[in-house]
Amino acid sequence: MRFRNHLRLDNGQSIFEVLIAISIATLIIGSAVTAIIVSMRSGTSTVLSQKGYAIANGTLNNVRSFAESNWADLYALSKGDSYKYYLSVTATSSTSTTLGISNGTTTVSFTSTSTGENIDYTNWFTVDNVSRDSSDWIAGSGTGDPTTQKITAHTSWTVNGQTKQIDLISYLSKIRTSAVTFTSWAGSSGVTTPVTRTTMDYYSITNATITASGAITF
Amino acid sequence: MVVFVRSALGVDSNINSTNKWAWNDIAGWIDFYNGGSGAKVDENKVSRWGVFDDNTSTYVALHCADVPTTGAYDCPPNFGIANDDGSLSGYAWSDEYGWISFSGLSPAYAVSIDATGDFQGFAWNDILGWISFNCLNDHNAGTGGVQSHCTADGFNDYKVSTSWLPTSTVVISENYLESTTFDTGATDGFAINSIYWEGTLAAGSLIGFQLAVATSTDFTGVDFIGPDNSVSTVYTATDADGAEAVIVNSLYHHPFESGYRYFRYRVYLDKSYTSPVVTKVSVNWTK
Repeated sequence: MRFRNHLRLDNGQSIFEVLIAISIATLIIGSAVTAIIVSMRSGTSTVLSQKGYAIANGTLNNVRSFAESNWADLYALSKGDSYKYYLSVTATSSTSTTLGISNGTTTVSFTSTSTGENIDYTNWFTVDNVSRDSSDWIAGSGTGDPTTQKITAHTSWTVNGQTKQIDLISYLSKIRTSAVTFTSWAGSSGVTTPVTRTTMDYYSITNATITASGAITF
Repeated sequence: MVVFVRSALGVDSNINSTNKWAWNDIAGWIDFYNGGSGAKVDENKVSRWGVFDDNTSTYVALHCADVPTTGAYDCPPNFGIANDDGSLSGYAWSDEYGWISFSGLSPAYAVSIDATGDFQGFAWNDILGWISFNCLNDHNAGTGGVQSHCTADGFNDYKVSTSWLPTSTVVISENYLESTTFDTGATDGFAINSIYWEGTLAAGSLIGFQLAVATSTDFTGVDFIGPDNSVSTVYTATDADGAEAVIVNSLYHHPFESGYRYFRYRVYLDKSYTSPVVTKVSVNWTK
């Protein structure tokens, strides 16, 4: 009798219970799927940004390398955001590649049939003059410093209809300086032959005098 | 002759409220700000007055055009300190000490206002002797006088300073040395960064520099220019200790312009009393 009662109590789930279970399962699975999609999109965006950053950083490194030996060419470029440049290969040899500056932008493409990736990165850099304040800090205004240039590397790409862009800024300085020191002007006047080291000669003197120790005074 | 009573209210003086002191070994400090009612400099004259600090009822009247409005004084005779773009001349008056001369020839002396508004030099009174307007002036060095107070008592920074400035902030001296031509060897241009100098820059004297750059060794017709791209200005030395790097505004010297590889410099000197001396010049550039 007790066994039969037991069977009577456990004879299956009601439809109402089943519907509740399905609803709960749907909520759980739906949330999980949404989280996975967001995570995948975020991961994809991060990868794209990392590639964009790497491209921009590579541009800065190449411009820095170019400036080492071609500062005058870099300094002569038109300044400001309106003037876009990129580095292009102008000559190659078995041991080296020579870069030159071209006007406009260049494109770096990443495509993969296996992953379906197909992204174009537009790449360029701009140049700005630098001013320094009275403390020699870089400032918005002050004395122009032609031995320092502000380089901004730009990389942009489009994903899901939205344009993304990374701008990396670096200040390049021509730090190798030379100096010549004159400690006496006790030599001859009227000298016009150019010198490449210190000399006691000079071109002319007007009203001022040279002391016995070779100093200039008046 | 003249009795003055301090009467002006408010601030009529354009003397600096801190840098307001002149010194005399006998009379002591003279305050030319006088709480705002002291001396006033304009483009033609120095008017109003200074007051002796040890007796604030005694004055140095600077010009008949503007003296205390109360009290007994006689103008005429018209006296006053004339201002010729910073070069002062004429007589002031003190009831206690008489005429005070702001310039003279034997020996040569004068009071002047430099490009920063600082008074320089000495005035002379037959009773008081020299009246110093700036402690940095080197007059009677080693023989006492105002200089002894300046160095011995540690008052090494007193001066009279005004907000009025000469119109010609820097006057190019006719006394200069022009260097020989220096070849930097640059093939793509160069940028001059600074001029370092050593020597002695006495108060009231001038040491300045100009630079010229060229594409050839022939500097005929090449302008020597100063910090504002003008042939009328110089890179001015300011360090009284005589060791200073003067930053060059190289944008005006054809920086990194192809073909430019030669430069010359000029050292300009001028003085009011003590001669400036340049013992070292170092030119720094980037190529």
